[in-house]
Amino acid sequence: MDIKNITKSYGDITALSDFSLSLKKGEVLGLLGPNGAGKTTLISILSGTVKDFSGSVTFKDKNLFIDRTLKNHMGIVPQDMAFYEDLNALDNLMFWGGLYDISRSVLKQRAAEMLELVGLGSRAKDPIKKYSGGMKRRLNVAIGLIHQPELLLLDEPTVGIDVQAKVNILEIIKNVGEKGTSVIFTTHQLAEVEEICSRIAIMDKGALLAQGTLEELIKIVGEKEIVDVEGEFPANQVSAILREADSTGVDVLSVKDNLANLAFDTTDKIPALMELLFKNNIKVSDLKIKSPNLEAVFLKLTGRSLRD
Amino acid sequence: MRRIWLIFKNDVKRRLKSPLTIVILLFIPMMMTGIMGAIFAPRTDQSQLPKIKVLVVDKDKNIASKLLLGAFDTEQLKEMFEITLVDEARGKKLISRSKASALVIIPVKLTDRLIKAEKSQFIVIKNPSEQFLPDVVEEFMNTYAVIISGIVQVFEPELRGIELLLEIPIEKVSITAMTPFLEAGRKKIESLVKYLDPLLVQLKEEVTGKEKKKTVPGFNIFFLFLPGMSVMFLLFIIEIFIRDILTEREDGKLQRIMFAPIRASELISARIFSGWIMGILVYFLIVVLGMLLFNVSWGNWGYLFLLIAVTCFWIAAFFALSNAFYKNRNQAGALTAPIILVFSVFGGSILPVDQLPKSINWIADFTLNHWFIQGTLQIRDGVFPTLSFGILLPTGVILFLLASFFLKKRITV
Repeated sequence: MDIKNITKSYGDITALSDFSLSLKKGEVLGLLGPNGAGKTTLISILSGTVKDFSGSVTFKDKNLFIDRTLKNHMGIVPQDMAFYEDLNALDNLMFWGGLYDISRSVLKQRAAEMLELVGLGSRAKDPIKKYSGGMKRRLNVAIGLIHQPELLLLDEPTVGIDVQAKVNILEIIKNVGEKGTSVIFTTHQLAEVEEICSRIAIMDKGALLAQGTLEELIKIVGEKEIVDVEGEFPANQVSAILREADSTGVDVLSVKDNLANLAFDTTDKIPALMELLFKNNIKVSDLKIKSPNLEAVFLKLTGRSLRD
Repeated sequence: MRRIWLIFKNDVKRRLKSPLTIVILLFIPMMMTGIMGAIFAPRTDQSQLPKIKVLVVDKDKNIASKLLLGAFDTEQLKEMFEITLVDEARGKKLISRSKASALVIIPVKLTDRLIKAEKSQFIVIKNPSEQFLPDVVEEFMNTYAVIISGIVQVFEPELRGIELLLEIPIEKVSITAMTPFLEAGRKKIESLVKYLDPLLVQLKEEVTGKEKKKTVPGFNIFFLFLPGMSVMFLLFIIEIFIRDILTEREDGKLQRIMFAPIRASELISARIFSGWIMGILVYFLIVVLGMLLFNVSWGNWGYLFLLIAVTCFWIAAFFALSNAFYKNRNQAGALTAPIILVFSVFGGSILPVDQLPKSINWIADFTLNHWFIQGTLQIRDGVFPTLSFGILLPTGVILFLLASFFLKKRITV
């Protein structure tokens, strides 16, 4: 899939600005962005529920918005539990799969396979109202996979579920990617992206800020030590102190009330900075020194954490 | 078409799994019809009807007024009216205190005027605090006036003879002088009997064309309420089906549906089709329940099916169009009930349209309820409801086209 120069505005607000992204067969791409980054708009454009945008999307070398049959090769797992709770899991799979060009006999077989895949085989005919949150999430994924898509979009598929269910879903996504399905996976959980994605894209304010493998992205931060300073302080006071201090070898990744994320060339500079903070009556309660990670990359690129 | 059918089947399956809302909405019109029918049904026990209190001022005090008072004194009218003779001042005082349903004033020299075939006037003063009973008195006096006028016209020559005799002192009136008038009157009465028993002109019912054997069903009090009540709740039921358009938009199902190779127009048609067909199925349940519970006879089944089909289509298209403008399902929920109630109040679902004040009863022409109720009445009477069709079908098609246009814009932002 090739997404080229997509721009979409809602009045004065630009949701996507000249956004481009490409995805290879079997690639699992983690799409990271804080709330309002434009992820939902991108997915809505791909689903055809948002119009009036500029740019193009080609899939299998065809224009996605002209050749409707291409949608037979795409699947979606929305963030909402988008299925009918009045029906059971099997009925839901038969309905959602029926919207695609699949024969009924094949659909029946696939529905049974999907239920086994997500561990709901024995509960196929139970009312969904009786399912736990984790079971519903697994069914949500199964519906997205029922027609064996070549491209799967997952919009935060692990929100609000327990660890066990989360592990199950991540395992399913990983397996799907290994079988040759391309996956675009949006999440707020950096650990999940680090675990299953072969490539990561970071977007904010409608624009793609960086993309690459985890190792490639970490190079953006460089060979630095990441230091999280926690305490009781207002963001503006600490920001002012850091601006006035000798900033050689120190990157301020982000500062907010009670938390400052900094990157040091070496740890030698930490004592001097701490002394400066104490002199200015800044109460520091904790100091964590970490290796560079995706979170630091995200902070450096967007100036805010993923959950902001 | 395959996807439209799939969505319809899925909707049916969903509603059958959770039928409670629909069952309740079906139960309410049945219950309301039962209650209304029980209240307004004619009672067999006549003694339960209150006697109508009538005050009579007799200013004539002659044969004509005696005839009227005598009529009130007959077996049948005694059951119905309670007559009190009063003078005019007291009568007016009592009626102003709501002590009777009406005050009837028999005019001075009524008998003389009748004999001379001159115009005279009964005065009926109705008690304004009562609605129904004073009208009965008024109607009775109207009928009496018509009968009296008819008798005077028929026996005019005989009455003129009697008038001449009245001018002669009673001791000088001989039987021989009266004989010609009495004889002429007797002959007229004998002639009249020939026309009255059996009636000279009788009513014969004939039907042209193929439907010669058709019978018009008898009066059923429940039929007065069932079509109106049921169409009101049919509006609620179909609105629930159609509201899925907004619900699915809010809970993410719409996005998932549109991710499949389905056109927006297919989805809109599927939703309207689903509401339409489900509405027809639900209404036929009402039809059957009406027959079983209230012995309602609906008339020609073909006509009825067509009327129900066009009505359900109209409702589905109307709510599809309105859903194109609602922001969310809560707004839809808040605005739908008042719209349906306005349709029902002005369209005759709650009160017959002719009972509404004349200044507002023209609004009925702009409601679905009115045309549906009129249609069912015509079908019951064996007539194809051309006017109801002529209004509901084209307006339904226009609503459908508008709904398709605006909903398409709504589905794709």
